[in-house]
Amino acid sequence: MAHFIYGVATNTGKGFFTANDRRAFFLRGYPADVWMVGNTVQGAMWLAEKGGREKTKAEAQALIDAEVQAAQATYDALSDEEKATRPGGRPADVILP
Amino acid sequence: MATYEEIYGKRVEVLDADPTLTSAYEGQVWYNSTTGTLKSVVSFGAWRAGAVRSNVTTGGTSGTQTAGLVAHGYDYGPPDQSTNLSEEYNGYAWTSTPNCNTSRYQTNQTGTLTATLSVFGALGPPPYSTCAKAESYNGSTWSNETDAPANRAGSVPMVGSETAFLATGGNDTTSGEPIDTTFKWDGSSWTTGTSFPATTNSMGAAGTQTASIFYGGSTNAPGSAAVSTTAVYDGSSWTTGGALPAASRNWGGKSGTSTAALAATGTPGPGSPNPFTNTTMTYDGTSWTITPATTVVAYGGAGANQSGASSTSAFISGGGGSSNATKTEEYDFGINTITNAAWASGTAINTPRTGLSGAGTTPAGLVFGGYPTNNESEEWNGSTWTEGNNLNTGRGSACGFGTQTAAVMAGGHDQQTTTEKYDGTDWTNSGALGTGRRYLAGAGTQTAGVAFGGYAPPSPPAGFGLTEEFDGSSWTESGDLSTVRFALGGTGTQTAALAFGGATPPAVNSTEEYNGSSWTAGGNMVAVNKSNQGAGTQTAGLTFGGASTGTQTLGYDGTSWSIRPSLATGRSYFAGFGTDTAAIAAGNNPAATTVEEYTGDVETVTAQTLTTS
Repeated sequence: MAHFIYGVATNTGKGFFTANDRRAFFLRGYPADVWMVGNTVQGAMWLAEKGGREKTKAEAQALIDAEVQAAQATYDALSDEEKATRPGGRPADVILP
Repeated sequence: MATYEEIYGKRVEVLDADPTLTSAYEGQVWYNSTTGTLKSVVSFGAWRAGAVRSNVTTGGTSGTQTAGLVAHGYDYGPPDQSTNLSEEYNGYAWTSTPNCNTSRYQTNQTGTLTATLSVFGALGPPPYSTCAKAESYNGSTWSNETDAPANRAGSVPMVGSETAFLATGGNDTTSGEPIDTTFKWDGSSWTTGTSFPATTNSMGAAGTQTASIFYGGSTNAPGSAAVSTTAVYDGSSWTTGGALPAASRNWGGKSGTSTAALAATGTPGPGSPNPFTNTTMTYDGTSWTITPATTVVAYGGAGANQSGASSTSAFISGGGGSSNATKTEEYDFGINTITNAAWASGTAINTPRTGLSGAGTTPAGLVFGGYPTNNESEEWNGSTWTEGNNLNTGRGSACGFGTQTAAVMAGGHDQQTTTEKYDGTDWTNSGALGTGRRYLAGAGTQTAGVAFGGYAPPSPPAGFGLTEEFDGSSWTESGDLSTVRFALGGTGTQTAALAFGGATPPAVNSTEEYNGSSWTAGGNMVAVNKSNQGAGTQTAGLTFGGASTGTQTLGYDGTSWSIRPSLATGRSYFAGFGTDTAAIAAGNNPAATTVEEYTGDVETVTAQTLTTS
């Protein structure tokens, strides 16, 4: 059994995850609405209740890569002057742990 | 029997509703005429959810609710076997420590976070073999100690400290049968003590090497009948202790002393409808009492691993199989209902942005501006964001401070000197910063503010240490930061501000405290970070997010930073505001609308209904 499950779910704002959820199971959000969820009954139920679509880790990573690469392409297309003022510089790759 | 009036000099008050309670109400009695109940503020015990661990592992526990340790155990993740993982708990969050030296499960441990001894267990991978391994943890590293005299497994019950340790019972090496041998460790060598009165495994325990009680367990092979018997050890011999109210095994716990013990969960004997219980019992040196407190989850089986310094404060983690192994529960006996701190998702802001600024509190906050030329402001009322009037100059990467009805935005990504003030309705231009810059931080109020740090290319490359004070209309230069930096966090007031993290350009972990004229060094953050945000005061501060640590949240007590529950989503170049117990994180980089709300530990004096039982 893996420690985590991965899924895609749209953050709908308040109530999407609650303080009780945070104390009940591990939860970490990534680009492309990817969520890494503790592989427990409550974690899996949360993902299902939020209309989440479960993904393999590789599938989740591919979604993240696509989003980050799009952001990187946007950055790369900027002028040098615009790049100099862009907060955070070129978006860094995000690797699921 | 004395009457209430004779004791307190007054009659029981009759109220339509419970009063607003403070600790001053402890022991007072009133009649709630609406509910028809007699009420009072009296101490009670209760379990609550603590922070979740990331490792889906069972393991031994030691230490306390605010300085706890879970180590070794069974790893439910691939490859599904014994583990050497170890995690520390500070009452807010779990963090990984260096791994143990040996992967073992069915272990147990005792002591404190900075002096723990873990002994025995089953060595993996399969086929497992029991062992006599002993390892100590000093708060930073695990070290091998002299092996125990014999192999044992089955989460051998143990009490005491790293240097005055006692273990008895457990399973022997070959057949898995319970055993009665008692072992002692003095920090350097092992000796054998008087054998336990019966061959027993799966007991719970409390106390020290010279004054302890061991309770329950099973006198036959695992899976067979539990017992209710207990035995008290005085350092040399065993005597019978008060019997448990019901037979139970798989305790694993060790909270309190031989005369004030706490025992929670366990596996009941035959006939019980449930495989595990969430029962909590206390021992007063003579007899056990089942308390009204129940754990949120009925742990058991694979280690009901409870630990604590006393019978009034304990924690459980690492038990209950794969579904519950990551959970933590904390027990306290007192007049307060306690809810642990956590971040939750909040209502999204209306306009996605990065490099925005924030001011105020929750539920009266404000976000404004954003990279590159966003001029919008949004007011937060605790549940919704409402569009406010626009800034005169759209810009991001500025600093923001003040309140929802008296906010300041200064600087900007094009190295502006622009300063604007918000009055709850409109933004108006005010006196310009002496030095235009971006990625600066701010603190204070609209009439007594301070801005510090920042960056204005091409020079100086390392940013600014510049500090400027705002009096509501103009800026005056003050003492520089010791470490020039930009994209730093800031909070506090004009006479008691806090600067933390930032880029030099490498990210730093240093903190500086401002007294209204000069900066002095504060405690370092636990990790380097930049574009982190802050909330609170110089002596009760909070920082969260950042390009280096993503989700990390830290609290500052005026001296040092410690870990708090993490954000769910990593953030950088966002807006943060509020206090160390109620904060908002809004926006992200790349531009986003997502928001998270932080609620710190909440302690509420709670009335109890008096009954005649």
